[in-house]
Amino acid sequence: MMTGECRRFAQLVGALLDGELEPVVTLDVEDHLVRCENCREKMALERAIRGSLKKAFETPAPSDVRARLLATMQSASTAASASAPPEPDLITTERVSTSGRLDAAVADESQSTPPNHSPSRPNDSAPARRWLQTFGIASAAAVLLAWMAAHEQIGTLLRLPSHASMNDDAKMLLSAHINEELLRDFVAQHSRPLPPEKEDPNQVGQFERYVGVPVHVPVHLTQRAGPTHFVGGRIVPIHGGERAAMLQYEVRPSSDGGVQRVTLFVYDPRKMHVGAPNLARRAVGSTEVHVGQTDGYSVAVTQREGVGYAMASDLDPDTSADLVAAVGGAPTASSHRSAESHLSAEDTAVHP
Amino acid sequence: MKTPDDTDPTSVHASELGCSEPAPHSRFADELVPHLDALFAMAKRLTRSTTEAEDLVQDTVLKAMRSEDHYRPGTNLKAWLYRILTNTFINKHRRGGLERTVLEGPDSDPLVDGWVSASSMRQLRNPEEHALRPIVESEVQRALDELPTDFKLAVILCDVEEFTYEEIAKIMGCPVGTVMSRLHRGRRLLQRSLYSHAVAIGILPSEPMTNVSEPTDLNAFRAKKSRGAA
Repeated sequence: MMTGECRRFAQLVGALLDGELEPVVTLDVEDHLVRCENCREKMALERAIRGSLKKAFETPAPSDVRARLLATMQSASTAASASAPPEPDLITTERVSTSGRLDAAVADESQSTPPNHSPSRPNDSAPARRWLQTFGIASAAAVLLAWMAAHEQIGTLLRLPSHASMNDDAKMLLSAHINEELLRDFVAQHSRPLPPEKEDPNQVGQFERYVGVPVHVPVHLTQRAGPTHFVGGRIVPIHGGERAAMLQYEVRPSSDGGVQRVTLFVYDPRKMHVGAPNLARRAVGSTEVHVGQTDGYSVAVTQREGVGYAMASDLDPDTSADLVAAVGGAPTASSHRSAESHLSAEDTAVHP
Repeated sequence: MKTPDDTDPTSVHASELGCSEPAPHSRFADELVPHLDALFAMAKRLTRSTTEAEDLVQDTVLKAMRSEDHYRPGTNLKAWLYRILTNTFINKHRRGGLERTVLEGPDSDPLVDGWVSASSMRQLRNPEEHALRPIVESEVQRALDELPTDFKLAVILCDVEEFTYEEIAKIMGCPVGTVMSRLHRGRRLLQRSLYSHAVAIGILPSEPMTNVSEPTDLNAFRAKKSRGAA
């Protein structure tokens, strides 16, 4: 049944899907959605449209375009570095080195192309460029697949009964799907991570004012997973107007040198219920952990001392469970400041 | 206003900062490489031409490398790059910034104002796949391409690249409220496009603009009238 309210909510639904609504307004919108089939269908349609938009952007740049761009960048940066003195490394030791990626990308291009393939554009009047070959498909395709998988899931609609009215069971179903959506949001953020904004664990601890709970940054995850190091952290907005802290780690589980990414999300469990029906409950020591798979990634969720933790990775369930259970108790860079940060959390305003 | 060799690529107006030296080392260039595909995809949608898109991305990337000093490490590099791309595009293709007026027709929202039933909306998408039916999906690209530039930008930056409203405001150089308005109107135009297309190819029944359907003859009209509006 359509009411005049629907028009008012039309714009809010978009903002809800964008994760930009304040929690109070989100409740109003969800309340309307529970009662209005038309707006539910509209929201589902909006999500489907976004999914298709994303698909329309998946195609990587053509290989010859890439080749020319990389060549331009290569010559520009070579010319630059030849004329400048070496600069001291300002980046902390925590940071993952990305040097040589441009060289590697250009070198990859030189690996395997038919000799007749020329990267020069038709009617290109620019000076002859260095001969570059087709960019290696394998790594680009792997990234693309992971990204598609994550985003198809984001395009997933709430599966709601089509009755115009909803009883309490249906409302719980709605909120359960929203819980699962939160977990899938996290997994999508892990799968296609935004770059960290802070690499200093102490500064990451300051995200507390946005997240609403203490953000302890374990410098090392448990040793069982092999050597780990902290890459950096940032805030991520989550559907419904909330924010979580995203801590990115790299783990080297075996000695063959393969590095795996592990992302730990820290959030306020009172505001965000994160979970999914398919997760199994288990105990690690005295901590209860939910583990399972979501959208192809290994996930583990727990709470400790009023702080929610969700971890996404490619690790096996046992290791995931151990890692996330250990988080609350692991030595952290900011653990000696936790008392201070509790006090300041109460003093500062809650929501930016 | 903006001179071709303006050194701060993130400001639309001429900058008073004077540094135009190239980046001292190539590590910054490494950080730009992962964004090439996305930048190109955006450029292609803005310019509607592969050659112009390549030019736009090349200009963007070279400007970015020359302006490494203007980038604050640890902040959102992608947003910074998109800002440069947007400004470069505006300067090349439009004199007075982004379009201000949009012809939109009546201020109505087909999916909310009662034109389109819930079941029709469901028809546009595939319930099992949670995506649009392929025949409608291909229409999305065309509908997007036809949006006015400022709506197109907002929709791409939000729905595809998933920037926050704040980030989009910085990239487009306008207030957050304007971003939200452009998003809402752009999405509405997209939806209306899809709806029209679906009707045109016969996927959806053509639902009339009011809730009362056209009578075929006087008797039918009277009969309908006596049944009353639904």
